[in-house]
Amino acid sequence: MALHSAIKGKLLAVIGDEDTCVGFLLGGVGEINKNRHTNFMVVDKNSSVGEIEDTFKRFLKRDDIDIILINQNIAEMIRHVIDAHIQPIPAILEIPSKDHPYDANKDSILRRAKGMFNPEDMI
Amino acid sequence: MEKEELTTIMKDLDDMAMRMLQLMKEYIDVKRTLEEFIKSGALHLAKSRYIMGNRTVSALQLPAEDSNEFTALAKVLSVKDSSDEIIFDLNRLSLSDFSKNVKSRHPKPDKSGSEETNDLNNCIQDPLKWFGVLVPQNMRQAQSSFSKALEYVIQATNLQLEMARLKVNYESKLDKKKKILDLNI
Repeated sequence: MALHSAIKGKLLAVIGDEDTCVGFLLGGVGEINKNRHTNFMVVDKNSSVGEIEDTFKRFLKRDDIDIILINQNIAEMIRHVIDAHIQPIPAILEIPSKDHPYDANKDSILRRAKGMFNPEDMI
Repeated sequence: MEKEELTTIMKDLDDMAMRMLQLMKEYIDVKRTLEEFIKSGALHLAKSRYIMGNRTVSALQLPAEDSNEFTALAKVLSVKDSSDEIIFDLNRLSLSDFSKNVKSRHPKPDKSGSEETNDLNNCIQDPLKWFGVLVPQNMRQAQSSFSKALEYVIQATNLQLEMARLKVNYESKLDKKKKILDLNI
């Protein structure tokens, strides 16, 4: 237990393509805990939507994760699960990948924020 | 009396809407910068792949569930800001500081802390070592790009949290406004 308290704070989890995972793990966010659970998932062409959804839900349930990073194109696959998560923590951050540039129109957070500007309420 | 209250609420709503637009702009800007760092990191990874070989920089080098336990070097701390709201901060362990500590402990005759040190040694490792002992410079540049990207990740998350809080406040004010308007009708 003392080992994990060597660095204070909670984890960042990553769900992304190979380069995103390799990159952020190089940045030092990766961890394998004493139960042999990882905090990252490499999504390739063989990964099913069900697998991604399960991993995402598992990360949501873990109380040692504060931020979940997910590639925007992968987030699109499980949009219904992401939209259903309304709690602020763990925060879900949609990040661009090298193949898929960032599209502000698809971002859950911005879509929610835009919902604030309802023309009827502005009167 | 009600008219005055309505005017105050309207003004607050306008201010909140303006702040939200500002936050949305900042959020998009941070995401664009994050994208730049991720792209440059990916480019350095691609160059490392070119130098070291296609299969030497892939998900296969990442630790799997059957690997030894190890701890993250970068974590997030939740702290309270001046207005008592929770914000995130990046807490990073510097590997150079850590190795210095290990070296200074070594010559000591006292062995009491040695077991803990060994365990820490096993748990804390430079991710670069997964890809070999002599990694190209590009790999280090990729590491630094993604480390910088992490700072923008934290910044974007903080903006995200502020937007969520603002939206809740906005909606409650909007309800108040509707109630006052309904009473007047």
